[in-house]
Amino acid sequence: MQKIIFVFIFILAFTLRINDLSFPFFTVDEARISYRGYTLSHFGKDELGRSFPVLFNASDDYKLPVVSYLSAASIFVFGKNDFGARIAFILIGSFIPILIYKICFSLFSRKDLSLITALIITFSPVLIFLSKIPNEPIVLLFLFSLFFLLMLKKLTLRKNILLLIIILFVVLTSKLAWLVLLFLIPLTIFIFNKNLNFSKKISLSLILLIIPISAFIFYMNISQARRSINENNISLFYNLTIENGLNRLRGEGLEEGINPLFEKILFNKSAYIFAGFMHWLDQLQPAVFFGEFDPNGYFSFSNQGVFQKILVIPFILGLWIMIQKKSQKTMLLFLYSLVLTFPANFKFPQTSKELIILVIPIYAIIIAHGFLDLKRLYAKIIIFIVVLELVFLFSNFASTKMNTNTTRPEWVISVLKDSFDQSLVSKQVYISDDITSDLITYFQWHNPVSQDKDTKKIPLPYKVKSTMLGNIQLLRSQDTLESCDDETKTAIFLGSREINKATGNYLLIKTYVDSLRENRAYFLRRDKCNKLE
Amino acid sequence: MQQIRVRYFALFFIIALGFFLRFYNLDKFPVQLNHDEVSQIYDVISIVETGKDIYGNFMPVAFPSTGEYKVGHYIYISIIPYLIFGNHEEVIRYSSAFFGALTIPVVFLFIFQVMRNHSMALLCAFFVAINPSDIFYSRKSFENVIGVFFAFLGLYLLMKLLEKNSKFLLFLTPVILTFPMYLYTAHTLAIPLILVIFFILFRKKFINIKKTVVIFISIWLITILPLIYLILFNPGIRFRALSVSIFQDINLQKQISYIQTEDKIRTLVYENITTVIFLFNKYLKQFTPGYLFSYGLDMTNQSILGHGPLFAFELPLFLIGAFFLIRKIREKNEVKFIFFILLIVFIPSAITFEDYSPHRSIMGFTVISIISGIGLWFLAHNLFVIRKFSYESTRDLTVGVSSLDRTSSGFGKPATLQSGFYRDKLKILLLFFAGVIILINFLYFINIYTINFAYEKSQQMHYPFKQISLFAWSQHGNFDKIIIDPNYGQSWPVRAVAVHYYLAYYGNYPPERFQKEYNLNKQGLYFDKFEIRKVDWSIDRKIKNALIISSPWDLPINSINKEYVIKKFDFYDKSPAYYAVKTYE
Repeated sequence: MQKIIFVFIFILAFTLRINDLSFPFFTVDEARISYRGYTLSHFGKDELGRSFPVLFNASDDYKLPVVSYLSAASIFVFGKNDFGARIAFILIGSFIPILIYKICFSLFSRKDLSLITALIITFSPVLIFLSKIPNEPIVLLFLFSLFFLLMLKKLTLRKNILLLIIILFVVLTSKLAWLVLLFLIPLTIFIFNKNLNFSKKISLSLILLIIPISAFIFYMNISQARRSINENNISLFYNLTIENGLNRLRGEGLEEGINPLFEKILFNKSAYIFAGFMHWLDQLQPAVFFGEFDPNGYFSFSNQGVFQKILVIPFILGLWIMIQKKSQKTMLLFLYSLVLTFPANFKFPQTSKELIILVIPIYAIIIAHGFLDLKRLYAKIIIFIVVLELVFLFSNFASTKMNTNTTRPEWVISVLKDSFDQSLVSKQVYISDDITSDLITYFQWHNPVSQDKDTKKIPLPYKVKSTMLGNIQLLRSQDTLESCDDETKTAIFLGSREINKATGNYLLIKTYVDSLRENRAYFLRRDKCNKLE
Repeated sequence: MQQIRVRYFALFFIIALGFFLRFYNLDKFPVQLNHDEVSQIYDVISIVETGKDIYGNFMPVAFPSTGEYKVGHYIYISIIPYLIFGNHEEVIRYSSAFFGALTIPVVFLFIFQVMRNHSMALLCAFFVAINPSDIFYSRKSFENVIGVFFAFLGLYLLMKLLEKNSKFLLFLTPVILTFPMYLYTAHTLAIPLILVIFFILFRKKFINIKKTVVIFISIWLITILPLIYLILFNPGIRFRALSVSIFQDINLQKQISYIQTEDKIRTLVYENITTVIFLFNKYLKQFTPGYLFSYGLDMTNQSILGHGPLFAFELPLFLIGAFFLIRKIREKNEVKFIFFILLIVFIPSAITFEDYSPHRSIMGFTVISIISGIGLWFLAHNLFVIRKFSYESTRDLTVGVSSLDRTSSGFGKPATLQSGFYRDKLKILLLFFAGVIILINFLYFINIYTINFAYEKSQQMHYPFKQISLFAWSQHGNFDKIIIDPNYGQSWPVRAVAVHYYLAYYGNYPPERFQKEYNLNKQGLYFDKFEIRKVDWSIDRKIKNALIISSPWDLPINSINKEYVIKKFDFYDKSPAYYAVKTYE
C-alpha cells in the first residue's frame, strides 16, 4: 500500500514539475550552471576553461561543486537542452515529498498526517519552481531530508557511512549549509535520535562536524574566500548601513546637547544583534510562507508563497493545536526550524531564502496537523481553494514571465538565435551589452558554440569572454559605431541604450520586444563595416 | 480594602502617566504643525467664525482642505478645545491627546471584563499608556485615535452586554460602536466584521435572547444609515475612499496589466483573482516583525534603526502572552475574540494603496500591546507564584481578585517566594535585567521621538513653513508682492500643498477675507499679496519690489548677489530649505 502511495506521490510531483518544461527561463547564473554542465561533461573543463575545478564563479559569489556536477551528469546523459539541464532537479524535487512522508511517518506513525504533509510538499509553489531550475536549495533540502530520515532510524555502520557521505555532499553544495550544520548536526542527533547513548551521540556529532569545519578552514585559506564569506554569509557585520545610522542618530543627539554617555547607551553595537534578530524574524513571517516568497522571481512564481494561501488557516489551527495539546514533537520541530534558519541573523540585509526552504517540511507538518483537525466541510472547502490556486498558478505563467522580464529574459532567445545565425554568415557581429546582463553566458547556453574552440588559446578567458566570443563582439557603452571602407558585411544587435548611436545609413532588419511588449533590441545592418573606437 | 486602594491608585497612576506622555510639551513635540494640522486648525477657526471652510463650503462633511478631502469630524470635535482654550497651535492636538489618554481606562475596563483579573488589566493599561504608536498618534491631530477610544469603549460595553442584558446597554452599545465608523474609514470596515465574529463566537449565549440581538442589530443599522448615505452619495467622501484604495497601488496595477488573455470573462476573473491575491499578500505583510517592532513608525531614515509602533521588548512578551492565552485558557471565547480582533483590525491597512499604513492600524498595535501586557502578567505570575497557574483557579475572580493578588500584595514581593535563596536572587536579577531593558527601550523611543524624528523627517513635518510664514508677514509692508515657491525638499523636490494655510494661520488672516480673496488658477494660488507658485528666477527677478521665497531646487542661489538674499531658512538638520530674496528691480 505504501509503495502505491509513493508511486502516486512521485507521479503527481513529477507531472507538476515537468509541465511546461522550458518555464521558467534561466537567470544568468542558472544558464551559466547549465552551460558549465555541458562543458564539464563534454570537455572536462568549466566555462572558463579550468579542468574539473572545485570552486566555480557566479554573478556575486563563488559556488561549490555539487550543483554544477549534477548538471554535468544530467546533460551528459540527456544532452545540451532544457530537459538535460532540468531533469536532475525535477527528479530530486519529485523525491522530496516521499522523503518527507517517510520522515513524518517515522515521527508520528500516522499515515493520514504523512500523506497530507507529502501532498502539501508536492503542491508547494516554491518547491515546484525550484525543481525546474538548477539551484542549490532544492539539493540541500533533499540532502537534509535524507540526513534527518537516517537519523530517525537505527544507525548501522552502513548508515553511518551514508551519513558521512550525505554531510560531505551538503558541505560541497552550499557555504551557507556549513553554518547550518554546526547547529543541525548536534541538535538532530541529540533530540531526534533515540537509539544512541550519550557518548555515541557525542562521538557521532564530532565526527560529522569535522567535515563542515574542515571545509570552512580549507575555504578560508583560498584568496578572496574570506571576503566572499564576509560579504555574502556574515554581511551583518560588514554592512555600513547600521554603523552610519548609529553615528548619525548619536550625532543628532549630541547636537541637541544630550549627554554623550546617554547617547552611547542608546546607540551602540548592540544594534547589530537587534538588526540581525529582526532580520531573521522578517524571513520567518507569514507573508513569506503564504504571501509572496520572492518578488524578484529567482526562487518562486510571482505572487506565490511557499504554500497555497488558503493553507494559512490550517497553519494557524495547527499552531493553536500544537500549543494547546502540548504536542512535544511538533513543538520541537518548530523550534528546530528556528535553529535551522538562525544563520539568517548574520545575512542582514540580504534575504536568506535558501534557509527558509529548508524548513518548508516542518511548516507542512504543522499545516497537516491543522488540516486534520478541521471539520470535513471546511477541509473540503480548503482543498477546493487549493486546487483553484493551483489551476490559476499553472494557467498564469505569463504573469511570472512578465514580472521577471529582466531577471529571466525569455524574450532574448530570438536575439541569441539571430546573432548566432549571423555569426555564421557575417564576418563580424556586434551585440550591445545592454540588451541583457551577461549576454555571452546566455549565448553559449542557447547556441551550439564550441567551448573548447573558443577558449583554447586564451590565457585569461574570463576577461576576454565577457566582451568577445569568436567573431561576436560586445559593444560597451563607451564604444562608438564608425563606418569604414571595408566592404565586409556586419550584423549589429543594439539595445535601447545604443540605438541612438546608429546614425547614418543603417537598415533596421528586425525589432525585438521583451515580455512586457516593449522594444528592447534592434537588428541592424550596413553593408560597409562598422569599426569600433 | 487596602488592596482595592492600591489598585485604584495604580490605575490612577497609569492614567496620569498616559496623560503626561500625551500632553507634556505638546506644542514642542512634534516640533511644529504639519500641513494636516495647520489646515485643520485654520479650518476650525474658519468654521467657528464663518460656518464655512476656507473655500466657502458651508459646514462640509468632507473638507477639500489640501486636496485630499479630509473627513471633517476631527475639525468639528476640535472646535470645543478651541473655544475653551483659545487659539494656540497645540489646541488642534488636544482632542487626539485627550481621547488617546482616555483609551487607557477603557482598555483596563475591557480587559478586566474579559479576563476578570485586575493585575492583568492594569498591566495591559500600562502597556497602552506607554505604547509608542498610541503616544505618537495621540500627539498629532489624528481622528483615528478618537476612533480607537470609541471602538474599545464599544467592545467593553459589548462584553458587558454579554454579562448583563440591560436595556440601557442594549441601546447604548450599538450607538457607541457606530462612532468609530463615522470617525475613521478603517473602523468603518473593521467594526462590522468584529460584530459578525462576536455574534458567531457567542451565538450560544444569544439563543434564548434572540430579541436582544434583533434590537441590537436594528439600532446599529439605523445609526449607520446616514454613514451609508454619505459613503454612497457624498462626492468628497467617495473621492477620499477611492484615492486611498488598493486600486491606486501601482504594483497592483502592474500585476493586472500582466494578465494576457483574449477572453473578456477570463480577463475579468484573472483580474479579480490577482487583486485578491495581492490584497492577501499585503495583509500578511502587516505582520512583518521588523515593521511592528523596529521601524514601522518611520521616524528616521536609517533603515532598521528607527522605532516601530511597538516596543522591541513587547515582541517576546506578545509571544508569551499569545502562547499562554492559547494554552491555558482553552475554551474561553473571549480569548478567541481578542485574537479575531487582532486579525480584523489590520485588514483596512491592507486594502489601501500604501505598503504599510500604521495610522490605519493603531487599534491593532493596541491589541498587540494588550497581549504583551497579558504576556508580562503570565511571566511574572510563573516567576513569582510557586503554585502553578490554572485559569480555572481564577474563574471565581469576578470581584477582581486574581490568584496572584490573593497570594501576594504585588509582583515580586518576597512573601510569595518559597524557593531557595539563590533562585530568588536569580529571579530578582532577572526582573532587574528586564526592567533595565524596558527602561532603555522606552528612553530609546523618547530619544528617537523628541530628537531624531525632527532631524530625520524635517521635510515630512513641513518644518520651515512656520518660520517662512512668520517672516513673510514681517515683510508684508515692505514689498508689493510676496512669491513663495511650494517646491522644496531635503533629498528631492516635493510640492508643499498647505502653504496658504500656513500663511493664513500664522498671519492671523481673517477666514472670511481669505474665502473672498482666495484665487486658484493654473499658475498657482493667490491671496492678499501672496503668490504661491513655481518660481522662475530668470523672469521673476525682474518683478518690481517683490520678495521671492524659494528653495535651492528652483533658485540659482550661487549666482544671486548676496546683497539680495535677505534670509535663509534651514531644515531642522541645518541643511538649507528656503531663501528669501528680494528682486533686482
